Amino acid sequence: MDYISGGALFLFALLLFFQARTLTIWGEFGPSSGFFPLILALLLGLLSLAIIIRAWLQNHSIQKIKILGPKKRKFFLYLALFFAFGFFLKTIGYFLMLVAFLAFILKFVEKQSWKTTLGIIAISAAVSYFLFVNFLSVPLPEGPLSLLFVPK
Amino acid sequence: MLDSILTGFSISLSLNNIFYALIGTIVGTVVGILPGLGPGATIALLLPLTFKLNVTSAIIMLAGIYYGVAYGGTLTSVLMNIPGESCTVVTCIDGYQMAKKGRAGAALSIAAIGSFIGSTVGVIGIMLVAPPLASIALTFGAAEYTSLMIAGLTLVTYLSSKSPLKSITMAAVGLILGCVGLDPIEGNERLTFGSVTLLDGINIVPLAMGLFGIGEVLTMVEGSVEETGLVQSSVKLRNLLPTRQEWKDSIGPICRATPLGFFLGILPGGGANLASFISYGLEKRVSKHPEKFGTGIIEGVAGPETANNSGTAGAFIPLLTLGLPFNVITALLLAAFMVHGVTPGPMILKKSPEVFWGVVTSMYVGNFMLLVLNLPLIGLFINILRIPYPILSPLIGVICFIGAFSLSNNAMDIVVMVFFGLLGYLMRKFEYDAAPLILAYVLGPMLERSLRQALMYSNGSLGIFITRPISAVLLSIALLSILSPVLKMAFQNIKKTLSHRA
Repeated sequence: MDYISGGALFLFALLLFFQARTLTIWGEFGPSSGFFPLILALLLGLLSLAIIIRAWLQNHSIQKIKILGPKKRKFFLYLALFFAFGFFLKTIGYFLMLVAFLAFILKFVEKQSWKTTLGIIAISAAVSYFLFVNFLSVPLPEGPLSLLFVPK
Repeated sequence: MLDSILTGFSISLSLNNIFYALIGTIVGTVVGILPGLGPGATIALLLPLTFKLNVTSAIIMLAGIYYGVAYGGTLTSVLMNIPGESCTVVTCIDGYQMAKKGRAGAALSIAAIGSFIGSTVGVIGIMLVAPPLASIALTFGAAEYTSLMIAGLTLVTYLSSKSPLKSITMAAVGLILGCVGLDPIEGNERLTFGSVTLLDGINIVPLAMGLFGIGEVLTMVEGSVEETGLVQSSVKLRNLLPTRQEWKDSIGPICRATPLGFFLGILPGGGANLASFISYGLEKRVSKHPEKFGTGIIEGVAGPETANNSGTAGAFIPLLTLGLPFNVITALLLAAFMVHGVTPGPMILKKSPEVFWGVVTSMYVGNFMLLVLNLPLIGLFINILRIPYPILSPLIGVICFIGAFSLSNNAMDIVVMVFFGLLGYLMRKFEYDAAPLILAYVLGPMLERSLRQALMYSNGSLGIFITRPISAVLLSIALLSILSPVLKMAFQNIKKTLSHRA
């Protein structure tokens, strides 16, 4: 595992190094914009190499890595839904997105009953509205339901 | 000082602030009961809620969560041998054994009372130590601040992790993430890769919520955690109050643990976790019957519980007086201060004394509330453990979405948060700790600013960090903490060689 993480970090350090080189390292009065990122790139590069070397010294074997646990499908569904929430929030609006998100996850992914699913959706929507929209004045996107929300 | 304390109480005892302290302590206690969702994640989740509050109320609420968590974690440690929080791991050892003997009530009562005493004395300590420390801090220059932050970062990574190398690496990554956006001195664009979203840098809220909140949800979801709630049957508490002997046996541990926890809390990387472990070790060492530790004795609960709460109070001192957070929780509190336009540090006592004294005196109020809440509401809090993870996970996700969105009404913050959530999940899998990353991310811009200022002042000479005595001492501490594993190995080898020759 440490070979993979060390390798990824080393590549990140390389990317950072080349990015830092495009900036001014030392200006007229002292260190400039690229100075700190350059030092950090070198530091990260050394540390990632140390991780790889330590793995080699401890005889870590390069074996088939199993990162994900037994519920891969659930994991990817959650991840996809989380990203979808962010991408479609403004288009669909918060409340419709909340209903769709919780309905899909609770009913189809987690296999909860309709009673539980609808109950949690109702409570979440109500708490969200009263706490964030009403009490804290957080303007949650309304989407197609904008006609239902009375402007303050 | 008395005037300041009275002013502080007039602020913290206002109805509004009592309400927010109550919310914070209740939420903190609930979070402390739930394994997985730690104080860092909770503070990150609730940070956006505080944007509409004034700075004093916001910090009072968030601070309430911090010390509420220590209380909450004790409940599951004693009743189910599951540490609700890392600072209550040690309480499991003797607390659960006491519960098995039917002394759960006594364990929880002593834990609550010891915690109250530890926190209260800790708050008095803040009042006495903070003002003189603030005046010393005014003599700090750019070089001293740079060295202090370097020492703090290295100590945190070494004291709080199984793999110091991986922790230092994460600290380096955190410093890099802090560079994204505009250069704090010259205003040049850095590491944005042409993205307009990254021009303002990566905000602490989606970063922290992603790494802790979403990362934890993804870990729970992929099958590592049981799908049922933690409590299946009802829990009965018998004999709530300790016996006279148990009271007598608790006095010594409480008295020793209070100053120990407080001073450990001030140290970088210290705080409640370290304090509880060291207190347990100390009590075992000074006890007349150390063999009884682990079988369910009150000393094994009283000491660690007192230490972790006085440590929590101590951790506020470097935050309030130096403006430097030495653990991830105070790093998030610093972010809260900055979001509200207040910079904690030596000038806070002069520029915003009402914030300082309001927060400090609210700790008395909050700790008293915890004592009142903890004893009668134990049964109610335990019911929260019945919520199965399949229901809890999406709800945590929703809270994270609202929190990230409300920051600047930008849905891309949610995407950034989920990205860091995936990163947080991978970090758990590859055994990297997120705490040093967050701490370094918060300290990074300050470290860069002071480092560059020091080098500008010295015309590029690194000698400034060695010729100034305070800076030299701090850098020596940093170097010692990095070299300590190597030195330890060298000493052990020398000892082995000498004993073989003998």
